[in-house]
Amino acid sequence: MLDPRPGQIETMGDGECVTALRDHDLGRIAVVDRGVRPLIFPVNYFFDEGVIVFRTAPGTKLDLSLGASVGFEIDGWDPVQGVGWSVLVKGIAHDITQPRGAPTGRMRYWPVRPVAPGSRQHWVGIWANEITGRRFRTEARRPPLMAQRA
Amino acid sequence: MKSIESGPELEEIREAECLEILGRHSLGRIAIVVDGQPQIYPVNYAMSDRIIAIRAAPGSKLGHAPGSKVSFEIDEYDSSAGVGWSVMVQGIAVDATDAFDDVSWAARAVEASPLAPGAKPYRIAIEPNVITGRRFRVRV
Repeated sequence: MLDPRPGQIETMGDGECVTALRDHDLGRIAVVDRGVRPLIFPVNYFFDEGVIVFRTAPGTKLDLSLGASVGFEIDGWDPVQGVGWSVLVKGIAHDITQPRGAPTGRMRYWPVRPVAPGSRQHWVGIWANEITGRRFRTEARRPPLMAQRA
Repeated sequence: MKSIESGPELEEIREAECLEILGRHSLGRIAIVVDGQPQIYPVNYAMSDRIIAIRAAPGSKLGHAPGSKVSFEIDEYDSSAGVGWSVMVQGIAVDATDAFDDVSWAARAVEASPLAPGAKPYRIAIEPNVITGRRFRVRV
């Protein structure tokens, strides 16, 4: 799947972006504070049905995400293949701790597993408005070590 | 700053160590706000003392970052050791391509090496205001 031509940046299709979001569980959320400053926090997440769900404790991340436009990102870099990719999501975050209907009630059973310790009793869903992805292969594959020394 | 999330297994990383960690890595993510929408982009970077130096392509979103508040973040989780950490830098982005201020000079003294292909002639420097880090350990 991930096989762009060397030196090219390619757009990932919707299906590939969704697959990448499903295949990973660690991403970063960006929120904006009152001073229009963006803040980045790593979160463990689960993605399905166009919604990214993570869990958090009371604090900045929760306060600034609820009802707000947020950004979300995952990426990967394979130094052996020289292939890098990233998927960027724009969406609106909502509190789903107390589900109000069938979809959010179901999400509360999704396997969202925070790796960091601490109680994270608040469940937040990011409803994606836009999902985009890019991948690239570096122009010059790194020469083997022997060739570098020659 | 006391964090509600802090516990015995979750510790804050002091600024000096945050800077050391930043110096050992070269791939991070920058967040910018465009029309109220925060967006995150992965970028390669280089440190020049406390200044984060990155490169941008013409017409890219990052090209609009100078003059605005940005955040920069690196993180890692080692599942075999059960150790995770993240460092976040909050600051102002500066167009360091050919300006003569101290921050721009510092940024031009180092070379960020973008892994992604394509010309990136513009240099952007992030002058940090706040540098914070957190580390946790879990049993594996």
